[in-house]
Amino acid sequence: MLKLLQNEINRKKAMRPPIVDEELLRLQRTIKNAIKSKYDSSLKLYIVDSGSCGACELELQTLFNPFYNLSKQGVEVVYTPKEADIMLITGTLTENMYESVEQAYRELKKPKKVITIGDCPLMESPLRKTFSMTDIKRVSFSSVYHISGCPPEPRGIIKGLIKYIETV
Amino acid sequence: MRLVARFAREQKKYFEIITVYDSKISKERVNKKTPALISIAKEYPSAVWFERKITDDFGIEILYSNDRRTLIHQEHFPKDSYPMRKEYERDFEVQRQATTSTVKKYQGEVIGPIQAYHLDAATFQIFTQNKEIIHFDVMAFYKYRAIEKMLEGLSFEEAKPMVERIYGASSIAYQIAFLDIQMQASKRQLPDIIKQRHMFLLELERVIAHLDDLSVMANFGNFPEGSFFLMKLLESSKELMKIITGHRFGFGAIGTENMPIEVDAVYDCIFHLEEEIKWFSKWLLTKSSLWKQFKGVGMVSKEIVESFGLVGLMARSKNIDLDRRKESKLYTENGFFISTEQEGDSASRFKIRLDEIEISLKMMKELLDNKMFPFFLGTPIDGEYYAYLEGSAGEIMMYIALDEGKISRFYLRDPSFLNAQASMEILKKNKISNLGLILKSIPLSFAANDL
Repeated sequence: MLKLLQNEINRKKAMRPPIVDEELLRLQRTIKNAIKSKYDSSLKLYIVDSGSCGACELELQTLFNPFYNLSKQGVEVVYTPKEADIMLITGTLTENMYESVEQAYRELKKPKKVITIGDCPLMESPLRKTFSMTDIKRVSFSSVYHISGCPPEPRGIIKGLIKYIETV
Repeated sequence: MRLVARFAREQKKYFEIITVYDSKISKERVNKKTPALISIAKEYPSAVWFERKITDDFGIEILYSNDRRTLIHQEHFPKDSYPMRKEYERDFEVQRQATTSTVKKYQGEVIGPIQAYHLDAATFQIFTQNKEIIHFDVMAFYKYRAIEKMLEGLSFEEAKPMVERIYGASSIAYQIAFLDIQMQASKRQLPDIIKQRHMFLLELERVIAHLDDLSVMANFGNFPEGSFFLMKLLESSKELMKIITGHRFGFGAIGTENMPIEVDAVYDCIFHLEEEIKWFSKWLLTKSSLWKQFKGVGMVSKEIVESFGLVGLMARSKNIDLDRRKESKLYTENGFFISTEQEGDSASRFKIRLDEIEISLKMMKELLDNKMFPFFLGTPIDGEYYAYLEGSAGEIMMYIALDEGKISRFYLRDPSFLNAQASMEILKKNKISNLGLILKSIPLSFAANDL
């Protein structure tokens, strides 16, 4: 009995929500309202790593931690392009990933929206072009929105998503 | 002898094969007309990927090898093109061949390269029987950016921002290895006060990496409140990295100049993290259901550790005290000790990560200093240089050959290169439902592996 009680005390301490500053609270409210007004239920993201150093994916993962808590604001990660509202692309486009990216784009739910995350997809990071990379323009995306940074910080990604949603 | 790495380099009249063991470095010459090399994979199973890469990079045939598949080049890559040869320009255009994927011809389930099991792009081929994995194959190099070729012909200064971005979560470790080589090349010694700052950041990077792994593993262990708690600590640690270096991953943080640190505020942060992790470890002692789920899962045997030359967490989880940090006086004088476990399973790797976070935080308190020391690098002297360092996953080896002040060959071996190969053995006979947990318990980054 005592053990159960102690576990419950520990559980409550572990689950205590973190202290979030005003700016982040405002960003959370804004993205939640923006999603509500433009999408049926939630905003579904399909993440494609086309050759990144992993930092952008880690920051995308961070968006769902207790601080940024985007799942509570209506953002969801899906694992098939058919379900996705937006395809997010991170990293330089490698020759070895080219076909997978193209195929994912083909399967993407209409109206096929793409956001490039970080400086690599547009070759704006310090990495130099090699034979193993290809130009992202080779994939015939109808429109691409860009969130810059190396990697963009979580708040930067949220701000970018809000700006993008406003254009929809 | 433990095999650390095996790679090739082109010299004017021949190819040179450099094989790095823990106790010696051996070099062989291979003629350019009919380049061939005898495999060492019978003795060292992890040599298979090193040798397949040598073939893809330089077109050197591997004799007496039973695995001659390409490793880096996928089906579209033109035959008889070996891009690490000097005759190939960095950005030569690959004339894609029509692709006929061989992967899907086999049976079993093919997952990837875009998939839910791993953040990085990689393909896994899994064969199961009665929900048990009977064969597992890792197909990597989807993220192959040809970093080795990218850095050729560049000066240290030009190459540095690229080295920082090979693998974001290990940026500090790679930067330190790179600076170590710069120091060797300029025949100078970095003052202890600067080394101390770098060690502090390396330990913080380790804390971040371990917290990230632990939070995901806790989730796989049906312990969401544990995962939630660890994610909060992870975010605080990343913010601490930003406070100290101006960047959440520490890009650009390792150099010979020190940014001033608000020592008291940083100390408070570390103290808070330390208290929280101690409390969490104590709570975990009572979570028998969690340990039950991790126990015996993803077991690595001593034989696999030794034959694949596994390092870091993988070796330490099987009671092999491999850790490059023990060689440094600065570490041992600041409270470093090696944490090892016996079983070699996911529970062992979970426990070691927890222990190492505590050890790192304790050392960070000792290493924290705000002294400044003006220091300038000298002119680099041509030669070959090796750096070894204990990153969060284990031993990292970096090699640079310098010619006329420019990089003529860059090579990096991350623990992931060994772990990816060993994972195929480790996953056998495990339940398919434990795939995610095991893959997270093994330090495995494809950004670091694929280069």
